[in-house]
Amino acid sequence: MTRSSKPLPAASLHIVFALLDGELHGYALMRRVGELSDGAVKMGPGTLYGTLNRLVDDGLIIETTDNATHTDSERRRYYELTPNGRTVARAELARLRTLVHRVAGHLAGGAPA
Amino acid sequence: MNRDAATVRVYRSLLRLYPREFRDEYGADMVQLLRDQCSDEPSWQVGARCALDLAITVPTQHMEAHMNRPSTHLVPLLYTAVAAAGLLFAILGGSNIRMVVIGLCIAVAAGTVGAVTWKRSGPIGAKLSTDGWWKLVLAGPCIILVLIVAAGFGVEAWELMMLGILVAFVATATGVLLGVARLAQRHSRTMPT
Repeated sequence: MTRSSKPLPAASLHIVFALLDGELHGYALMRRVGELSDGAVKMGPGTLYGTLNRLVDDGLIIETTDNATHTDSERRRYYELTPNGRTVARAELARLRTLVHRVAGHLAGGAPA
Repeated sequence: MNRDAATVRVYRSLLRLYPREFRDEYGADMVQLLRDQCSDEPSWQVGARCALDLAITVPTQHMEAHMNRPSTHLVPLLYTAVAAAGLLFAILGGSNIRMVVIGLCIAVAAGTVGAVTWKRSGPIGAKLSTDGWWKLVLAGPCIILVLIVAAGFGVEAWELMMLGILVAFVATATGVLLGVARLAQRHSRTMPT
């Protein structure tokens, strides 16, 4: 693992969350990110593949193009989370949950838990 | 349909702007992704998004190709520097309206892309919104310094100078206010409940 425990940048975060359900190819991944963000996040090709490249380098995702179960007529690269990537995604989810919890506590006028 | 094909053709030729290694690795997938997007959305929308995407990711990929994993803030810093240079160019233009317009256009375009990249490069929810107060406090004196240098060069675009001074004061005042808000946040967190 080459990655430190710093929070993931926004694009990486959206991608690892989108991959929590299983492997996806580039376009399906982009659509899944759009669904998860209610259409607020639309990535361009450079952002998507640049981020995928970094995540592969960091060992958070792997390419699974050669998987024999794929039936796409065109060659597509599929990506899935590594066990480490899944751990990082869950840690990020917990971090954001804590953040939302604290902010909600402040808004309600109570002390943060 | 023809418009989609034209968008894909233009995009394919613009892919040459990326470093060769990145282009060889992902170029075909990126074109395929663009084609898929064009089948879902109007091509002008896809084209506009891709133009911004190229402006942000081409310098990023070149930096990654030449430096081993540079800071994610390098690209926004680069665009901020270009915006500042454009502003300086406009100020130095003085009464030459063409120089002023070109300079301002560069400043606005680079400033916009810079703002988008600043927003994208950071993690979600990792920082409080008051974290950048010191940057604003520093921005004011920096703008004043640029104006003094410009005045030293004999620039007499007083309207722009006044605008610059106003922006400097607003930036510094906003920074001070955010700094005070941050102190108050810290104080309220350490107070026993």
